[in-house]
Amino acid sequence: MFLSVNLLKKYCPFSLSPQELAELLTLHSFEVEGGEEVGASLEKVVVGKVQSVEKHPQADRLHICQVDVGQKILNIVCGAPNVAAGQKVAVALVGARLPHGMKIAKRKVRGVVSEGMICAEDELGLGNNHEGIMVLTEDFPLGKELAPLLDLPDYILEVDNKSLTNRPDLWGHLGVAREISVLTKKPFLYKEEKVTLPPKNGLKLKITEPRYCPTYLGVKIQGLRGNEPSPLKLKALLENLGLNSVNRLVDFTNYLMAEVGNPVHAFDSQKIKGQVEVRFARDKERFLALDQQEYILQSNDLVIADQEKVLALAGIIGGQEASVSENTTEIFLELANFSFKSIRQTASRLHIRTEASMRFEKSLDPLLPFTAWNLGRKLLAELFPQARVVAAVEARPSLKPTKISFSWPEVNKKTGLSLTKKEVKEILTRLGFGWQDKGKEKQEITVPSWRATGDVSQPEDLVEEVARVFGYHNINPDFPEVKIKPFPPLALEKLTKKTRDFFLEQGGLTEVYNYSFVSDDILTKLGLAEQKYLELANPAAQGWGKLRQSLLPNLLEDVANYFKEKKEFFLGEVGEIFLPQPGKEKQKAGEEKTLPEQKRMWAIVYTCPEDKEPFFFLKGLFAGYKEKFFFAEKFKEQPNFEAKKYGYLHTGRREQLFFNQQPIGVLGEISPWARQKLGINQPVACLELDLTALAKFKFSCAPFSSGQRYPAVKRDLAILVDKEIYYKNLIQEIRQASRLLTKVELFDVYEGKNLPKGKKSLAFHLFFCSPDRTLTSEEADKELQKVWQRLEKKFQAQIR
Amino acid sequence: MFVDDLKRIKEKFFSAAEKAKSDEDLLLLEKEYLGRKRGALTAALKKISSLSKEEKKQAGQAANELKKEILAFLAQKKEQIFQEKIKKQEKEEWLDVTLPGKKIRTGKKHPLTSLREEIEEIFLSLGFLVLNGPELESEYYNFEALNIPDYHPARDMQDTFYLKSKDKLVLRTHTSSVQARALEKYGAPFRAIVPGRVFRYEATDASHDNTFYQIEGLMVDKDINLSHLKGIMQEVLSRVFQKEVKVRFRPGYFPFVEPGLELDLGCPFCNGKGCSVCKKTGWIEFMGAGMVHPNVLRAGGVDPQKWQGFAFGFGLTRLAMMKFNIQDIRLLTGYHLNNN
Repeated sequence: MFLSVNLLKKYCPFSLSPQELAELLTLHSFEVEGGEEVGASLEKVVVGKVQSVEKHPQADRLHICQVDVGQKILNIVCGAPNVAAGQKVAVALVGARLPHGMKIAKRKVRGVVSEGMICAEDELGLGNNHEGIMVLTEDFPLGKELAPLLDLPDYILEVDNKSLTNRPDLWGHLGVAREISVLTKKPFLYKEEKVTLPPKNGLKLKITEPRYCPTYLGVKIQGLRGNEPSPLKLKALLENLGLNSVNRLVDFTNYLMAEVGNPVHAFDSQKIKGQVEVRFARDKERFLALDQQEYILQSNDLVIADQEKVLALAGIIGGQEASVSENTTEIFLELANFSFKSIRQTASRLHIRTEASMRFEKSLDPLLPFTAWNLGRKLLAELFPQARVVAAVEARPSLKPTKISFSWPEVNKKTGLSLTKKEVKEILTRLGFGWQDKGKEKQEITVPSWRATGDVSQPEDLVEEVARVFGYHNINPDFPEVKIKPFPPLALEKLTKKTRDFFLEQGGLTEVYNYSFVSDDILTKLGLAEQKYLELANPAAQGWGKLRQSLLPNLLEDVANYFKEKKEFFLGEVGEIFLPQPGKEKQKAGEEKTLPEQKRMWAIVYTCPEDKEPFFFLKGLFAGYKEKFFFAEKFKEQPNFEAKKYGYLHTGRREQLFFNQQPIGVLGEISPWARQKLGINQPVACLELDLTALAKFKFSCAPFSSGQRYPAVKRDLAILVDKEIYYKNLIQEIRQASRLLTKVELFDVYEGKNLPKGKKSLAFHLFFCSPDRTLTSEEADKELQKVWQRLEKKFQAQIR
Repeated sequence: MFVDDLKRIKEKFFSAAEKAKSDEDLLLLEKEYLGRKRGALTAALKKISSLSKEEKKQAGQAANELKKEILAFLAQKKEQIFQEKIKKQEKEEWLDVTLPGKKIRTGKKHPLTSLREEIEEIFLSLGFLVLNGPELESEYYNFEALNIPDYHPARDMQDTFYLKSKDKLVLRTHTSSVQARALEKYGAPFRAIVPGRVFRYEATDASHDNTFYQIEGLMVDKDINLSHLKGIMQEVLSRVFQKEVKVRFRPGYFPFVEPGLELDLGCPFCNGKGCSVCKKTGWIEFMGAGMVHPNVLRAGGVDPQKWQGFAFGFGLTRLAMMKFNIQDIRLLTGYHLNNN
């Protein structure tokens, strides 16, 4: 919203500079986002009178004009088709510098000297019209500077509308002037007056929904000529406020709204048939609005209607059928108050946002229409001297004043300020609140009508009022004194940090944050499109409506997207996933329903052109992770598991990970078909861990071991077995074979040349040790024998 | 004469020794002169036994001296040869030490993680909990429990992603959604921050994304007031920017706080003199805050007659962009080539 400093001054004679005013309002009331001086560049633009117009001898479209500017007569070349002798015009004299930067100088135009410029509206920043020069009305005094006649220069403040969300009283200049008067202690120059309305004279009003329309004032006015342009001064002001000047009648309603803050609507009263009714629309009732759109209404849309048709969507937008036009001479002027509920509901469903709906949805003061009429009738007389107010209907609100029981020390308790009772009372009184002492520290505060529509309804609101007027910036920083209250440790947060740090530091990966959405495209490529996903009703982009169930698809997409540019990727991410089944968090305390299950995952993708088996790189890294934070023995792996969610993993290179028999993740390479789909022609390994599941277990590193007392005896063992026998099974047997075996290390795996087809060779270092003596060589050999006998029996292993 | 013999041996040795070029040469020389079987000096000494007692003594002394001399020379020569060899080797092993080092993989934390951890540490040191909550949230916790009923204009302030579902579920538009949940769970007194991912249904450009991070803060106790909020934030921000920064309160509207305010940060880049970051104002609009609205306390099962406190929420993403001078918010999500 834009505010004119000149118009504000009409109601409060403050003496601050516009910059000081902006600062004051920003610190105490709402955010002023910017400001601009307008009309300052109209210096050296004066009122002139065209005395004669001749055709330029060298150019068909140019005219040579003699223009009287008071002290002298200037020769001006003008290209406008509408220039004519006898017109009063705005003349930019030599030396003028116009709003868009144009400099006026004495110069020759096709051989004829021109000593200035006759200006068009847009050249002066007074509108968009450039069809011809701007013709002034006869009352503009010859030779005078134009700017002061238009109440310029002015300073326009731009307000952040969001910061006015809770201030329905500040949506017009009048309210802002009242606010400034509170802050500057300068007088507020508007006094409410008692206005008597003319009789009904046959006008009929029916309010079917008084809850949604507490105030309605309908005034019938005759003797208008609506299509006349507005006086230049009004035009300039409206343009500066960002409200386009249309014609005198429309400008009248718009100005009134900008001044008072209450939207005002004019119907052509000759197009209204019978009584005016404020009612809910009938279901599927059609309405053709001023924006040329036809809307299909519902039974909770509040409308203004006559006997036959809907005239307007109440408080939002007028209709075509009873709209004012060039021929309008008689209007039905609506000054009303509508409940924010119906306005918001309808405006947001139909996606209509107008200056009117924006104001009504903030819950305006139901008494404001009367103020609007009080100022409106005076403006009417000014703009339309022939106008006659012939009839009026009204519905008045029945208001009970809002009272709040308050204890003034609350202000200090909530803010840390140390104001006195006198100061608190003084501020509230200045703001228009009523103060009644009910005890030393007990007061009953009456809220003025312009603040009582929801904005101020409880003691905390009063604290805010006092604190902001006194100045939040006057609160001094301090530290609280508090009791320590221990909270349970947050295992998931701790595990997340440990996990991330481990893989970042040990592995050296790059952490990325991907979106929580997953594209249909990547899901299709990975064969996951048939899975059930949670979906957004309003996705950010088409094909991006699903919520991720694993971090891997997006990470794989990251690799695929950039695989042309580089071949080595080592990426990790921690993030939340969203599953279709219900989880544990309640949707609302005390209710049964829960939110869908959400889990925190940690995932890695790794690929490197030199690494043909990236699986083992990640596996090694994961082994380090297990050792570091958990009792590694509690982890189990299950090779080649069935898992639809990870169906794109290589059937021969994947493992499911378990902790305490609970699945906690997967490790694998993506299948060759998935590689092909993604356009990645080298192996890619993935790891995904379910941190939420893992955090439920106690995690700590392996217990401290004091080591063995007696030296271990080392023996090597090399065996030949079928290729598809899992190492995991071998090692299990080896461990079980000897009680004296304390450590097994795999140091070689080989298959290929020199070995029979389908066989592999594995070589181990075995360490035997007794807790109570040094083993002899013979004893160790005996233990080794136990081991290979067992392997021979179980796996037909050949000892090499 | 025996002395002449020694003299000859000496001359012969030194003329040969000067030419020695390697350890092997020296070894041969040592053998040739001092060797037990065929050494020249050894042979000469053998002759001593035929001399008189007086001559014996003299000759013995002279021979020993020569032996010492030879050994010393050999040692010195050996050292010299060694030095030359090293010199030569070092010359051969010369490296262009200005070449880059071997490439190793160093982990790279996301800038949002680094900053978030930094801020978490500061708050932890002030006794705040670090909590999280669901990103997919009910309308109740995202709006109603925060005193934003249906049709409230404040719902316009945040464009929301809705889930296709029977229940009204949203991607949380702010971390404030954790306020009521946390109060229900932990009760008062309470102090925590909630860093997390939030979502807005809006078009993306260099400074807007539909996904970003916030940090929510909540402190509830018997006498917590706005001056404490100011004190804590001034401390936290000074630590983040590693210099004394100023903070300023001014009115702001958020339905879940009353009084509600905006906290501006005295621009740490120009020290308040005015620069492009603060748009020449000296202040950076940093966060919304205020005293927790009694309705929010009630929603969290906390009695507003007994307890009061402040809440705040700021954009971690925006702070990271400021601190690390990131020009485009979209670079923070997804993989980009310049990530590493």
